[in-house]
Amino acid sequence: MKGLTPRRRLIKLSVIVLACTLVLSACSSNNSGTGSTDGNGNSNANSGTPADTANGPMTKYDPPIEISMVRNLSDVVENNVLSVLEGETFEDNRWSRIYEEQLGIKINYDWVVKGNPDSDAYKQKMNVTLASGEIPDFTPVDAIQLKQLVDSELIQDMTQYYDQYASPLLKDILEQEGTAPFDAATYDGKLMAIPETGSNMESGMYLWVRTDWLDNLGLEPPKTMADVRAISKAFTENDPDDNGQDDTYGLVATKDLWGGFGGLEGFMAGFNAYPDIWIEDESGELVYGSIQPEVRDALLALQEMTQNGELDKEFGIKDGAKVSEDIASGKIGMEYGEQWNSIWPLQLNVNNDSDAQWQAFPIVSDLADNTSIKVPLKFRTTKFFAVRNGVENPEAIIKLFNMHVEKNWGETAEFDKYYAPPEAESVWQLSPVQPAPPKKNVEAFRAIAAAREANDFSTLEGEAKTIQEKIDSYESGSEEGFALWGWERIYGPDGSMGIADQYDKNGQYLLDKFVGAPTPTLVERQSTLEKLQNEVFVKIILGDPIETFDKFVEDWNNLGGEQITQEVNEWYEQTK
Amino acid sequence: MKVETASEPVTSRRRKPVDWFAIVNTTFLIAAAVLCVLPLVHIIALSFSSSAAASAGYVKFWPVEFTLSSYEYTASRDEFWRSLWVSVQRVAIGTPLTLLLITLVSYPLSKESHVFRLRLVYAWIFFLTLLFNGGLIPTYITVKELGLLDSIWALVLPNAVPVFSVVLLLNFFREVPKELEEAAFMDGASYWTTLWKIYVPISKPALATLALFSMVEHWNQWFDGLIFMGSPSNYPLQSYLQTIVIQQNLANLTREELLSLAEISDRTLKSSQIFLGSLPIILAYPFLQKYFVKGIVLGSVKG
Repeated sequence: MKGLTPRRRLIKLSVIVLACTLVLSACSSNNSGTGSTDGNGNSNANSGTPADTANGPMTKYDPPIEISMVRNLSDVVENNVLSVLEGETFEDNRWSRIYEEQLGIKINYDWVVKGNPDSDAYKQKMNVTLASGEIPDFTPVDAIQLKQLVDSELIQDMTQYYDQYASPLLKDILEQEGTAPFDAATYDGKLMAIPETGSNMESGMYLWVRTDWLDNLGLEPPKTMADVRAISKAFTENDPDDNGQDDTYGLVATKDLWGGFGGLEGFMAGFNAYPDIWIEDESGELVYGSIQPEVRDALLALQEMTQNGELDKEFGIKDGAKVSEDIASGKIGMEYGEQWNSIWPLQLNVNNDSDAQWQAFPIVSDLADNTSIKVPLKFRTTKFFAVRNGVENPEAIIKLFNMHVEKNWGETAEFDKYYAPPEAESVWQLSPVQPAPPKKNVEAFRAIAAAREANDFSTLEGEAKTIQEKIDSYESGSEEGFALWGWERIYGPDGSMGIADQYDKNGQYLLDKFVGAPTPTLVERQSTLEKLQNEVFVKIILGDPIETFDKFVEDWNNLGGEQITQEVNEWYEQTK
Repeated sequence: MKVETASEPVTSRRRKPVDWFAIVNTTFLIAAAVLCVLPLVHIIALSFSSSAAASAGYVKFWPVEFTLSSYEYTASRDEFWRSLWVSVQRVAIGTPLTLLLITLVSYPLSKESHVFRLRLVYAWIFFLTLLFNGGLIPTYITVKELGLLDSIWALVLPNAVPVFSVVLLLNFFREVPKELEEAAFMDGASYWTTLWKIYVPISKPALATLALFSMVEHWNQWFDGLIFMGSPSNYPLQSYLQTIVIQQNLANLTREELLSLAEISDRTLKSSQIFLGSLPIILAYPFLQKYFVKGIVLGSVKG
């Protein structure tokens, strides 16, 4: 008898628990159901409102509105901004205050994840959120996630809101590098999200060379691909650091092959090979760069260099951070990378060895005229703000964009307060939306170069002024100044930005030709194909027979590449 | 180790054949132990080195240019201490709760089917959760709908009843001689009293083992912290460490992110935080280890 009562209770309890679970799951499906129907109703009602109220790009909401978003908290913001600024938090700071005071928009975060938007943690959290169907009012997503949201009909058409609410300054900034960012967010002629444009030209490649080694061996800076090969050989074999040991390499590669530091795009471009982007062939069709015969030549050259010991044979297991150790310890003589490489990791080398000196050079090829070599660019817009169905003020996101560009680059800009105050140079990252002019860095260089020419730095303002102060500090020879060596190498007279300026003026940039929304097969197969490609390329560089490349081209086509090419060309036809 | 001590007492003067098994075994085990310890030694060495030496890869197993600066910096980080506190709370709440629940589950399940008629049904319900789980998204939705997001309970409740521990404990309970229980019933004890007065006291080694399991599990979990916590200020220590330790994929970073990498890609800092983060468990292990071995073996050997 004694045993019975607890058992009865247990049964009762389990029944209750089961019932609860059912009710709960029913609730959640109900919620999402009503949410979307509400959404349709509301968005219909909405289409009338903007016209009715006199509502400009930056008019204040009265009464104030509350919106929900999600975002990441980067290490930079945590370490270099929030820990420096007194009385400001991630939720309550100068940016949130200006949005609230001047626009009447109060931003609440459904969640915040520590890390960068490309970290696994952030991606997982975002995927969980998207899969649960309960997205915040405004969601920053990448191109593939945007497609998922469009397919599941969770978000609304932003076309008319953008036309109506985007300020002239915002339009100018977002469209500075062409309409590509908008093409990527356009589905059936509707703009389904507001792109936070990234700068394509920032992904241009440069050849960074240790000039103290060049001087040491009596070599000239590279002008042709043959020079690059000769320098690489000399750096490897002729003991450029005079330490009597065979411990140097001519060039670096990382296990990821591509990317802003140690990426091989620049080397390949010397062979007119443009892996990982879509290019136009003679017939005007789009073809994938990675499977062209020029890539084969470039791989063969890299293979020879590896066999000569000019590339570390262990590169296949070294990521960028690991390779940076070799740079820091002074084993590397050349590397292909973007314009910021001097700040990281090359500065590490200089910190350890104050005699080390690096300089960026334009990438070279064996063409007669080096200004005609194309510099491949990746499409860098990876963040789109999607607006949930049923949000009453979808234009709020555009107002936030307007305010952000206005306070940083507009007429009422307060650069030292909202963009980069000296004590916390990344303050702009406190804002949940961060649109920026794609050409701002090269423009800053042009301003500095002009001031240098005129020998009058008093005219500089904004970012250019801040940068010039860094260069001044470096040139003063002080100890803090020494840590700014990397900046001088970018914006100084021999700086990498000077080359960017030339690239731009000569029209050398070659942008990825496919910038549309990801096609179905692309979504499905892209990561597999990329993985296949990188594995094959690493193996070839390490010594696999070059015929492996032909096999790869065949495999690539069979595994969906052909289908992707077709889909990409269909898109290309439409946009022409 | 045991093999060594076993061969020691032999002191006879006659020449003994060389015990190859002991030599090979000892060598192998020492090598395995060294392999386990070296990464930790490397981390410790890094954490006491200057960041210039660390970034150039000069540090192997001994600090280069000894400095305490990374520990000073870590000690000044609010985030570190805050997440350490969350982890402590998590263990302090989670482990006792787990022990309580698995005791309450294991006891009835250790009874024969004729005493507890639905035993098989319940046993299967629990057993099935060992084989299948709802997957990430249903789990997330469940936690969300229960309103647990962003609270310590999201870290504690979802895995509060580890079925593996239940299996260990119920096997342990089964080995308790039935006579003890029968004697208690004769004296008028209820099931409840028998459980608390007889079973729990004699299962201390098993419970200590399971407590250790649970502590280590709670301490080392990082993924649930990232998924269920909506704000980094609620991260447990391992989630926090995960976000600072992971290598970033340089290919996809923007210029601004990379510029900042220069300022924070400090390996000595990461190392000091990893070391401090694993210290509590490293310290707890030796004290609980004697139960650890005994507990597992006791549970598994049938009488």
